[in-house]
Amino acid sequence: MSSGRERIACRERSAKSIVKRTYTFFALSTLLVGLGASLAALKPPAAQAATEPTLVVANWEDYGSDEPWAVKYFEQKYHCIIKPVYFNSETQALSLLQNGGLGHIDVILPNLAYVRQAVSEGLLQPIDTSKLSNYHELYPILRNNPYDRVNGKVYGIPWTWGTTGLGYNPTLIKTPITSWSALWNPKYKGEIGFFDDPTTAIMTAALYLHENPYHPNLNKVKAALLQQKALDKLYWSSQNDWDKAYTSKEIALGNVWSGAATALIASGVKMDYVLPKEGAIGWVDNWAIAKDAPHLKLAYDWINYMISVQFQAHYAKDLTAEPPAMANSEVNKVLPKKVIDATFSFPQWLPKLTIQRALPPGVLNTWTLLWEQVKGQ
Amino acid sequence: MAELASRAVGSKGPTPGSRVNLAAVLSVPALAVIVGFVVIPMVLLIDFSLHDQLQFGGAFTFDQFTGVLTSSMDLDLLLRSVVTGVAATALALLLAWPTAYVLAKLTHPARRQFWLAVVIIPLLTSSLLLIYSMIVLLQAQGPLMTVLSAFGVSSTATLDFTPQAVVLMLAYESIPFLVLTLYNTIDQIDNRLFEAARSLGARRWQIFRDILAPLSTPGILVGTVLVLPPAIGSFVEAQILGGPNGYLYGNLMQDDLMTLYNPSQAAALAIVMLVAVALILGGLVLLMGRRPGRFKA
Repeated sequence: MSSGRERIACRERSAKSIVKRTYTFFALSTLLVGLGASLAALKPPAAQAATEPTLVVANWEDYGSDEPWAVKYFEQKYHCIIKPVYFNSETQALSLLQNGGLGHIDVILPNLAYVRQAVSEGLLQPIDTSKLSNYHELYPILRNNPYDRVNGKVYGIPWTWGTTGLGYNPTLIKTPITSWSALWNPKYKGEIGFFDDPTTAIMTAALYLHENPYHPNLNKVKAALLQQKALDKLYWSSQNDWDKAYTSKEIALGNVWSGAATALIASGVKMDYVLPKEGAIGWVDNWAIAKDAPHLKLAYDWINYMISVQFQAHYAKDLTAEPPAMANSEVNKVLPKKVIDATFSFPQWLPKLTIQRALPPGVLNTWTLLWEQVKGQ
Repeated sequence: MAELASRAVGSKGPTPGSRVNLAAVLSVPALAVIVGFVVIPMVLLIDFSLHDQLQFGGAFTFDQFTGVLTSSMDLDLLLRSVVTGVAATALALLLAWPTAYVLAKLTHPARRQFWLAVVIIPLLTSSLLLIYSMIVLLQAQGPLMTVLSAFGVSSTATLDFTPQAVVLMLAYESIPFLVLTLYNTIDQIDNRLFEAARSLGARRWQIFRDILAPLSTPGILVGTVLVLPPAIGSFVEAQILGGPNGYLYGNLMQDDLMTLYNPSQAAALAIVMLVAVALILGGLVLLMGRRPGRFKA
C-alpha cells in the first residue's frame, strides 16, 4: 500500500471528512489500533542509556519529517534523537495530545483548520517567531493568515500547502480549461469526476457562482450541484478511485487534489492541472509546539529546520515522495523548473486560494445535510 | 473439568446433573458472543437512537425516528436499497441455483470439493479488490463491453459507475453463499425421487417444479437470509461503483455517522432498516414456508 499517496490523499481531504474512508469500520479500527500503538510509543524509554535528549515529533507517516536524510542531519547537528509519533487523521492528532501526549510530544503538525481548536483545548503554546530565523522567508500570505493566531499570538508555522483545482486529460479535451464552468458544461456530460465531500462540493459550487465560499447562498448552491450532478460520471471519494477512473479514461476531467495530480503525472500519466480563474480551495499544514513540550529549545530548532530552504528544497526535489508545495518563498529559486511545475508550487496561485479553516459546527452540519440531499436525489 | 472427566470415567454414563453442567460450560462462549456482540450493541443502538446526538445522558427524544419516517428522501433511499438488494439476490439465485444443482447432482463426487473450493475463492479475496476488479471488467472496451459490442452495443458504452453495476457487484458477492447453501440442500435430495419421477414419465420442467424447486426452498431461504440483509445495507459498493446516481440508504448512514458525526441519526436509520429487513424476511419465510411442496400434497 502506497502510504505516501494515501497520506497525501488524506492530507488534502477537507477538514472534517478525513476519517471518512471507503471502509468506515476498517478506518475506525485502524485509528483505534494506531492510537493505542502511538500512546504505547509515548511511554518514555525506561532504561535508555543515551544522555541525548529525545525530540518527539508527531506527524503523518512518510510526510517529510521522517525522511532518513533529514532525521540524520538534525540528530547530528543538534545532538539529539528524533522520535516520530504518527497519526492517521487530524482528529487523531488532537486526541494524541489530549490523551497523555502533553509533556511527551514536542512538536506536531496540525492543519490550519485545526490550529484554533487545538489552542482552545489548551493543547498548544504560543510561538515566538523572532526565535525562528527562517520565519521571514515564508510567503507573507501564508504566515499572516489570522487562523494560525489566537489573540494576536502565533500558534502555527506554515510548512506546506496544496490545492483542490481542476484536472483534465489534454488528449481527450483539446480546448484548455480555465474555469469551474467546465464542470457545468453539458459538452462534458458523462466525463466528469466530482469529489464526494460536502465542504469541497459546496465551496466549489460557490466559487463557480461567484458567491463567498464561506457564506454562499445555499439555495443557489444546491440548485447548481444538482445541475452538475446530471453531468457526472462519478463521485470519487479516494485518490485511488480518481486514479482508476482517470487512467481508464472513464472520466476526462474533475476537481482533484494537487497531490493526486503530482502523483499521477510522476507515474507517467498525462494530465493538466489548473487553478480555475474563479479561485480554488487550498490547505496549509502548520508546525506547532505542544503545551508542556519537554524540549522547547530543540522544538524551535526543529521548526526552523523544517521551514528552511535547505530542508524544503531537498524534500521537494524527490518527486517519488510526492511532495506538496513548500511554504518557504526562497525554495523556488533553487528548485528546477521541472519540480516547481510537478508540485504546482506557484506562489501566484496563493492569493486566489480559499484556505480551508474550521467551519462553525452548525455550518458543517447544514452543508453535510445539503450534500446528502444532492447525492440522495 | 476434572470433575466432569472423573464422572465420565467413574460412572456408567453421564448423570443428568453432569449433562446440565456440560451444557452450561459449552454454552458460555455462545452466550458471551450473543450478549457481548448482539444484545449490548443492540441496546446501545436503541439508546443512541432515542437520545440527542453524542449525549449519553442526552434528552430522550423520538425526533430521530420522526425525522427518518417523515423524510421522503430517506424513505426513497430505503426503497432504492431494498430494490437493489432484492435484485442482486434474485440475480445471484438465478446463477447459483443451476451451479449448485450441477455440483450436487451432475459432478463426479471426487471433483466436487475442487469446484466448491473454486466457488469460494472470492470469499477469500478482499472485497475492495473485487470491487476494483469489477470496475475493470465493466469499463469501456473492457472484457464485458467488448463482448457486448459484438451485439451492437456502442464501443464507448460502460456499465461502470451506474446503479446496475452495484447490483452486479452485490450479486457477485452473494453467489458463493448461495451456492454453498443450495448445494447442501440439493445434495440431500434423494436421487430416487428424480428417478421415480422420470420413470413415471415426468418431464424435466415438471421435475423442476414438483421436486427440485420445493425441496430447494430451505436452501433458498437460508441463503437469502444470509445475503439479502447485507446487500440492502451495503454502501462500499455503491460508493465506489455506483456513480452519482448510486447513492443508497447505507451511504446515508455512513455519511451521518462519519461526516455529520451524528450517531443518533445513524442509529435511527439503522433501526428503521433493521425493522424493514425483518419484515421482508418474515414475509418471505411465511410465503415460502407455508406453501406446501406440491410433491408433499
